[in-house]
Amino acid sequence: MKGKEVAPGLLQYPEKKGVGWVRRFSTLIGLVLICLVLTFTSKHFFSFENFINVLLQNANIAILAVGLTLVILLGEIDLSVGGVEALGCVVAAWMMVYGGLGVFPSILLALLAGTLCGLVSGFFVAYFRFHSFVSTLAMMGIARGLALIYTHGASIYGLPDSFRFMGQGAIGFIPVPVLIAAVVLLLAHLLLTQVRLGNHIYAVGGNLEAARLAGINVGKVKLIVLSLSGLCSGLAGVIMASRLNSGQGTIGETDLLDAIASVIIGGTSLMGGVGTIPGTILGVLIISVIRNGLNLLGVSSFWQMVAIGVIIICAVLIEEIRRKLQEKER
Amino acid sequence: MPDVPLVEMKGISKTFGAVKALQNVNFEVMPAEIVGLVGDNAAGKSTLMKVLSGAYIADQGEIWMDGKKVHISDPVDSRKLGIEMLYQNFALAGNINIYQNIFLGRELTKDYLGGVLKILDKKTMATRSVDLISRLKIDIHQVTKRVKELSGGQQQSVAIARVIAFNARLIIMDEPTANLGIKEVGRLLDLIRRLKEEGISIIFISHRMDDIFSVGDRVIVLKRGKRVGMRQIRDSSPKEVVRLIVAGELEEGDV
Repeated sequence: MKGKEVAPGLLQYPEKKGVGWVRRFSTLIGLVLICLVLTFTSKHFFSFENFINVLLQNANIAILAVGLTLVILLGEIDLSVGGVEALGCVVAAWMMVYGGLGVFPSILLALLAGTLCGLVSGFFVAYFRFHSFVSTLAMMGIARGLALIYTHGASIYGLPDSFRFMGQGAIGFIPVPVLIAAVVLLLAHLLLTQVRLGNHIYAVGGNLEAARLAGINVGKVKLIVLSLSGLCSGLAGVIMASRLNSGQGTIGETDLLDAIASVIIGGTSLMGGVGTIPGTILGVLIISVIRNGLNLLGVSSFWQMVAIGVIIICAVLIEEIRRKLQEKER
Repeated sequence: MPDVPLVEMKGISKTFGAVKALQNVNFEVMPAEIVGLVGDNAAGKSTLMKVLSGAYIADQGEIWMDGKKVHISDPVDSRKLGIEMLYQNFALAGNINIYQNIFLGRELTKDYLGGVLKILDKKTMATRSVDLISRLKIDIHQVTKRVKELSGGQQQSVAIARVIAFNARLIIMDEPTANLGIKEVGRLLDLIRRLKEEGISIIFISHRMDDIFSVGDRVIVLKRGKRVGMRQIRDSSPKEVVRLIVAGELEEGDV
């Protein structure tokens, strides 16, 4: 081939850090500011124990947020994460206590139940053109309902001691749920940045028609991603079962709120195609720290829900304003 | 000109309900030939090209390539044969970068664990994109730029880089000059000539006679789903072709 006439120096590689970093940096500053305020308003906030405590209490939110990040990147939504989390929690407990199964098979079955929930809602999205809002809303009801039916509305107690390690154990000073969440976050980050499926998720979320014309099986991508979100929810549920030492069909009722808030604050666009796992980590940290701070300041959990709701609105509003400004610049 | 066409479509018919979109249409492209495909709006140009690219399956007719019969039942088939389509709206994902778009759906990977784990080979994709862009002499200086940050002409260049990335032998261009400024049109026509020099055949769907007469070797005219004429560009004039588009001709001048 003749003519590399464009001067090679003009073609740049590796990647330049662009707008994404500015945005992430501003989110980071927000996190630091919130921490500073809390350090001065509550004497309990700035301590190592509290820090570990915050991470432990929000490990399940982080795992739910991972699934949601993937789903929202596609331009879809998963409203069933809290319900499926409860189902995962109950299935694990029920299998150990009444099903006569060991710890590992029970955990596997709970993960399978979660994945199956995602698979079912994903199936209708992929092959019957359901909006994910509808199919996951339905799944929210189905999963939560099944969890309550299994438990007769009560709790399942009497879980084996060996199961406690997963939710209550620690390796060194790091609680096991935090380690699990870290592994899940890392795997999701690698999925999005290092393999084909990640590339396809961004492409489908960015321009579905272009992805289709490029030969990507769009339905399959949606099916896989919603199943992965179900798997994450099931895993979060198992961790909750171990932490609570019981199976409860009522857990995680505000988790959907927290997880979606985390993903949005982390910079993932609800329109799809834009977002990263590092962003979601920051989002989870911000929501966790705010919740923790409100707890330490003695704000009731009801008011906390209001606060998180307001934060969601503000985050989307800021995003919208930023987008408008960017469009004007062009 | 060599005797064996690169692609030959024989007796293609396609109906949609009661509408006869294509009736017994023949179409051929020689190696390294630029063929203009013209006709008014419902003439069947897009339908014919969608049959060739595998987006539609013809009710009747055959497609031959290099003198051998081939089967094209979806876009993946046609791409494997080296037939690529340049879409009018470019069909790019604006949120991902240039090299990701160029290799979208055909990402290069390095295999680990005996092929179980396939890791994206970003470096090779980026450097190959740089090569492609140099070959096209496009003024894009950074293959990691997101596509939505590019101008319309640059986006089209990325779309072209994508269609030639995998040894395309025939590129179907659907109204490629429709959304471009005068300067960009000139650049695109230069690019089309260069692709021809590299041995790539091009089917050029356009309403702009000037563009077709500027780069084309032959022009084929469709009217109401039928082929109504063919001219060598050097023996014809835009006026004559427009007359064919409007009126057709009774004795099909096909050989």
